[in-house]
Amino acid sequence: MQLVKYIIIYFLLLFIEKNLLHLISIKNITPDLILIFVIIVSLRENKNKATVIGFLAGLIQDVIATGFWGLSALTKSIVGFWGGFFQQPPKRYNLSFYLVAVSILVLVHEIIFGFIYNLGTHSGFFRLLLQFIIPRALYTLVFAIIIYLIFKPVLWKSERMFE
Amino acid sequence: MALNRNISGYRDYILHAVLVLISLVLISSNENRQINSFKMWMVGLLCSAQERWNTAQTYFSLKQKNEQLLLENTRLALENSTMSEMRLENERLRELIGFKARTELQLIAARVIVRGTKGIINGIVLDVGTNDSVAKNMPLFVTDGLVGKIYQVGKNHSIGHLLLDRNFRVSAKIQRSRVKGIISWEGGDFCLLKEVPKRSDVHLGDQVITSGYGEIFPPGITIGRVYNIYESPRGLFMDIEVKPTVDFDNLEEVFVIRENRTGSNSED
Repeated sequence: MQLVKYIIIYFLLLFIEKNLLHLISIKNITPDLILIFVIIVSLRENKNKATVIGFLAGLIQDVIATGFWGLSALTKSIVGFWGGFFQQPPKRYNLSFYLVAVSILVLVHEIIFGFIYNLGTHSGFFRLLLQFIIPRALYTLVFAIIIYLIFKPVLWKSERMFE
Repeated sequence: MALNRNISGYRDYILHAVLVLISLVLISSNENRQINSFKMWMVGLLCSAQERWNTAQTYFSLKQKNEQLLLENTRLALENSTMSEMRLENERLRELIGFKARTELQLIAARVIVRGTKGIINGIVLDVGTNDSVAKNMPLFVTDGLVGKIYQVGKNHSIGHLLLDRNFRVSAKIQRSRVKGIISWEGGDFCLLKEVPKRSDVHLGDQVITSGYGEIFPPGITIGRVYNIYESPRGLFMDIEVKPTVDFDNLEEVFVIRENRTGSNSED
């Protein structure tokens, strides 16, 4: 049942990303909703499940968003796995802890993603860091906070996820 | 038994390593034909729902779009009559100087099904593929200018990479002074025209067009206008900021250019 919920939420987010997110893009930068989804899954589920969900979520995103297969699958499976190390009992998910966990995971995701995609270009990595990685990470972080504030009671209520 | 216990202790790590490996194999085999076919099949599958949604959306904006097209049609008809005169004059002059016919462009209209934005990767999924004679690297454009090129092709769908993509490069020139450079995108709303020597004849507002080098993009397609010029005191080249003429946020239809080369050219 939980898996069906995740699938529905995933495709809903994918739909929003494809059809609505461009309306709030700032200098061609949009938040990565799928990344926030994978991070939240990694904070709720066991590492195996989160890694596989991250991988599949990234793979589908690759197919219809970038055409460059494997890149999001790699970065999101990494986030799914390493997110597990930030798992806490539900009552300890206060905003500051959540913020630290999400900031690290988002930054790691964006750095790996940007670094690999930048390999073929002659542009400097520092420029990429300033123009894409940090702005996109910050924008995603803002959305992650909004999602935390709105959905906090729903996201962290279940103890059984942390068996 | 002990081995089993040991392995199960590292099961998370093993699974993670396997998935990372699969991802790396996928990344390195993006040009592989079989992988590409499977990927395009998935694009078709995932985009069918999106196509229906797009059709429903279009239905509600048909009236407004019709009015816009009527206006555009009138404007183009006026422009066309002027252009016909110029074309005839051009042909006469070409004949006079023995200039051979260059290329014959065929346009394939395509609808944008999905616009994928991922910060540094910017692509679109189109509803045309090999069944419509679309092939890899064919240029994409709209009436406002250059959009990008075809990156991968399936039977009925294809993926295009936009001008606003970190890995996109196109040889360009200033239309007025014929100064050449390379257009790339490094973020934001602007492109950069690079490798233009200092003191070249470039002014703000100059139109930037494709140069026709590289055999992918035909010459003369508008890219944008010069918005800013930066001259660093040390380097040999200047960086020219170019504002693309295409509104990438509202791409709905694009044209794929199929080029039939019919003769040599002596331009440039």
